[in-house]
Amino acid sequence: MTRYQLAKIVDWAGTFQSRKRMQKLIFLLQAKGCPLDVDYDLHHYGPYSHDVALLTDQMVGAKLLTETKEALPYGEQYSYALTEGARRQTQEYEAAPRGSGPAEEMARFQALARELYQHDLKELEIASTIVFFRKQGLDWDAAVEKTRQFKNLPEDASFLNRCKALATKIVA
Amino acid sequence: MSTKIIRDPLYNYIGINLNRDGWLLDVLNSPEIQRLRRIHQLGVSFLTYPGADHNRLAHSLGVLHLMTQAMEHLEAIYQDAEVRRAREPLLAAALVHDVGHGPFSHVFESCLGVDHEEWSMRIIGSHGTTLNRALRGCESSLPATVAALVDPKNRDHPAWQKFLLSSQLDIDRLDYLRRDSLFTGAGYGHFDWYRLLNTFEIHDDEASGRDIVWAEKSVLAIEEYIFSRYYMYQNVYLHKTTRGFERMLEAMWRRARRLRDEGRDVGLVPAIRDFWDAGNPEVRQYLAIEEFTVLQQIQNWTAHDDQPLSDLARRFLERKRFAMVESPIFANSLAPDYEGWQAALAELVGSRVEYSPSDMYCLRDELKGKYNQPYFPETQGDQQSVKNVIRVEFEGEARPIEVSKRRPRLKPLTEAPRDQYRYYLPKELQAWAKKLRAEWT
Repeated sequence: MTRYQLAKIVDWAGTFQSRKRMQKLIFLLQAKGCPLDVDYDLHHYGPYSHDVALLTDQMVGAKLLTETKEALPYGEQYSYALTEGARRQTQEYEAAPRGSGPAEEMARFQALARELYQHDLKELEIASTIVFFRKQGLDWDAAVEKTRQFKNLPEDASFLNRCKALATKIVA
Repeated sequence: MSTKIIRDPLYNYIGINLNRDGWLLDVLNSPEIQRLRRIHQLGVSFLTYPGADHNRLAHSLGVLHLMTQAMEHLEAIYQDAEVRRAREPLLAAALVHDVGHGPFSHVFESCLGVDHEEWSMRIIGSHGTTLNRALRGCESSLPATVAALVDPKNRDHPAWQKFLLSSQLDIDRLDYLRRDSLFTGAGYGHFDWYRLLNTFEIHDDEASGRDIVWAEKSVLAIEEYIFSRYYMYQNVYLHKTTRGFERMLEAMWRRARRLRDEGRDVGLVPAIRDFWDAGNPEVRQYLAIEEFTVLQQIQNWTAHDDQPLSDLARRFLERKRFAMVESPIFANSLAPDYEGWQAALAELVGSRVEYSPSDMYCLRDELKGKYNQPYFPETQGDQQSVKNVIRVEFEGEARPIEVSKRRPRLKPLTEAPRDQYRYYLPKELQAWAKKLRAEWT
């Protein structure tokens, strides 16, 4: 995943709230075909990429993203936004011949990214876990059941169905 | 009590209690584990550090030695069945965790297109190997349990056991940092390993299960360990000379593969020919590729009629290294033009007819930040698995705390290092490349 790609994903949200949301949203975009080339492992809270976490921190260190930390009742939440310098560099890159291809490629996923960003975080977590198991070769029912067991979820059919519906929008 | 004693430069004696752990000798004596004697622990680092000739078997025995001590430490504290049951799988995993390594350890994986962890699991799980039989001789389910422990993607096995074998402060690292330091003579990599090995506990957490944590009295030893990792990365693992020879080795094999795909005879030695010919190579075909096989192959290529292939083969064997040039500092740090820069370098190299094709003489080395970070703490918002970070039970705290949250000295080492790109090219072009770099910066 390039800095440019992460910058676009952050910028589409305006201010991107929650690193966990970023992890799941990028996982689902990639599963849909966005060429991000990110490695994911399954962690307790669903698919997790060290690459994404590190790239975010690198871009904060390079003053391309601003990071804001907010104390919430259940812990800290981090938010990210593009710096002015990053916005200018994005525009310069997109205007240059070498940037036009990547810009068009990313633009194809803008609507999906914005839609995913609006989803409930828990749904993103569960849907991405279902997709993770589905991509391991399980059929839909098995992927949903394995997710339910993995996350120790109650058999709330409506919630799981919502998550499955989101997952099926991403992968066949 | 009867004990098998093995001399070791790090620990002096490595002892295997034959009454309790005698079955380990069958594992140790299997040809698959003995093969590790012939694999350099540090790949081609011996071209930088002449003493770095230590092998994977010595390291595996070191991990077994430390794991034995770790389990004795746990058994003295906990009298529960899970700890007792974990002993055999963990000792076996300690000894066999690197069995899937190929020639020159990690560096050759890209040359053959293999992943050593996948091969480790296949070798452990294959009924045709002596190693598998030795494990089954102890307990029929042991191969599957050990494979699950070695498998980085497996999440079904108890996390505290996986932590001991593979985490940011695991038994593997406790051995190799000090062993690599000793054999390179680099002078770094020292820390209070004995304290780390004798002050950890299993923490029971209602929400996340059992986990490994350290006592507060160990925080200085943990700091020292993380700093040791940092220094070893800077001085040994990412040494520019070593990295240059790694890229040269890859370029040479890439060239051979390409020529072969084009139908040219590249004079492959039988083991490598069999491996490449097999669409889905068998375990025995993989194990047949040894360092001496690879060196013989490279020796053969020195007389090959393809000039770049023979030239790189000679350079590797004669230690005629390429010179290194860093990438420029790009004005646009969001989308640095590495492709443009590399094309400019390739044009420079291509201007010399003897360095054709230029992609064999202009080699890029990508130092990903994630491989250059001595310790990656949990960022709370990530909600990543807490199993992989180093946690300490500080006095007065209800739950263990991730260590860097309380040790500000660690902060600089936990910051995300930037990705770096180095370029290797013939030495006489280095000054020109530096001039070019100045124009690009």
